[in-house]
Amino acid sequence: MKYLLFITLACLATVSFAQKEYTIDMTSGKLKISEVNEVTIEGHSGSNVIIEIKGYDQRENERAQGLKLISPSGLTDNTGIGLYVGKEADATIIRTVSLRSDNHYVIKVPKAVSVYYEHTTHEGDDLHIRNTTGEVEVSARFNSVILENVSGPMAINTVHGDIDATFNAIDQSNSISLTSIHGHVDVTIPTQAKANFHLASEWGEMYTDLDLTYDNPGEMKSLSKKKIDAKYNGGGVDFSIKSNHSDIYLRKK
Amino acid sequence: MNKEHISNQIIRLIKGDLSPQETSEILSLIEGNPEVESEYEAYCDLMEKLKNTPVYNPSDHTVVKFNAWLQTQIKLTENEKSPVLIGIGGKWWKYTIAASIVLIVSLFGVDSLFMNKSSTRQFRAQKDTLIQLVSTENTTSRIKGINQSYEMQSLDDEVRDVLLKILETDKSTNVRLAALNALSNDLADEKVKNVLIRILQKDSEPIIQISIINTLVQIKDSRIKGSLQELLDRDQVPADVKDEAFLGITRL
Repeated sequence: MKYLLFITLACLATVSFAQKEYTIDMTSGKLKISEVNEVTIEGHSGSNVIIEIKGYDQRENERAQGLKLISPSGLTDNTGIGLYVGKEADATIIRTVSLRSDNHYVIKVPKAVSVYYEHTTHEGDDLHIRNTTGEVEVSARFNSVILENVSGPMAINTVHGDIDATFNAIDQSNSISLTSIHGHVDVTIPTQAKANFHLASEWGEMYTDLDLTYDNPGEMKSLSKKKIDAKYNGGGVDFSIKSNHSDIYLRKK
Repeated sequence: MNKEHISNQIIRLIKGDLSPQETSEILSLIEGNPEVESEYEAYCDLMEKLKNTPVYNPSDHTVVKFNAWLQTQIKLTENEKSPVLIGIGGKWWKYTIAASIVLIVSLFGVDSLFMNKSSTRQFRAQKDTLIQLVSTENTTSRIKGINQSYEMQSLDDEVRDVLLKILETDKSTNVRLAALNALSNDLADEKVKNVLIRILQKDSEPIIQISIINTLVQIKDSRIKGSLQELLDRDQVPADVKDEAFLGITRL
């Protein structure tokens, strides 16, 4: 009897887990993620976009049985995980429908898919991006953006959040730009990477331990000018780093 | 006819200063003497090069300096033979010096012309790349195109207009920010300043508004105060944009 109960529970858990994942058949093109809270975007070697929901409140809303979740903008949850997925002219779009703030989405994207993320409210929390190789664009207002094991090309901006980025390489095909108005921007790059850096901090300081144009590259030092253009390893792709009100850190791995 | 006289007659022939009889004499000498023929061809080449060399106007300072040097040389040769001029008789040394100077100055002129042509070609190439890349669908390609402007010594009207249009209409805030950064080196231009103020008033993207405020405040133009005050007075302007406008007014 105990075994039967265990097997039944295991089957239910599997079904429940399966319902918390949504797959989009997509190997290339642009994926637009709009106003979705608590997102981690991961590059993967698969041939689909996979959206997993983690930390989701497991209690079912019995009153909502047989009803569809809708959003103030009129979108319906067509994924079963609080999201709307649809097509726009130039992109596949994922929009939030559920207003629950404790949903955490992990969106796995194939290497050739480019990603655009936008968010405008306080509920967004940190945006994590890791292992991506396609183009990544972020336009956020309150999110901090944490990039890990990325290579670009990318264009990231946030008004109030920080940007922390660790590059495993610097892609030379297109530009990289990281901009925060009020947050710091902290960038770590491999020592062999090549770039033309354009650094700017109107009211903050800039620190580096890279051998740009200075005598003692081993020390982190404050650079007093507000704008600096500098080549690293002979120069390469344009890499802009800007923080209006906070500091910039540019360091080697 | 000695060698010096032959050289003089060749130069006068090329200049058209000889009488018909003198012309006939020197022509028959050229035809009959390979050495004289060779000298004649050398002078013809030199004259042709001078004729085809673009006119280069030396600076007033250079002209004054050259005239002073020429006068010194004239005085020197009137008193004693200059070592430089040994073997050159009559007044032809003056022409020779003048021709050499003209040749040197002309070569500098040609060099300068080539450099100008080269930088014009480079500017044109950069501009073409910029215009081509900013028309692409890809966000980071458009930013790459805008970054071409950093390689240009200065922006011309066409590039400036392209950047202003991008700042005003591009669908990507990241691309618009890149255009604003590129234009921030050109704030002395009234048109740029006026368009920035216009965009500031009508735009709804906080990061664009805040970045424009920061850019305009850098130039410390007190006329911007009115625009910033307008933002403070409008209800629908987000609080963080108003904060930046207020901070901007205090910094002007």
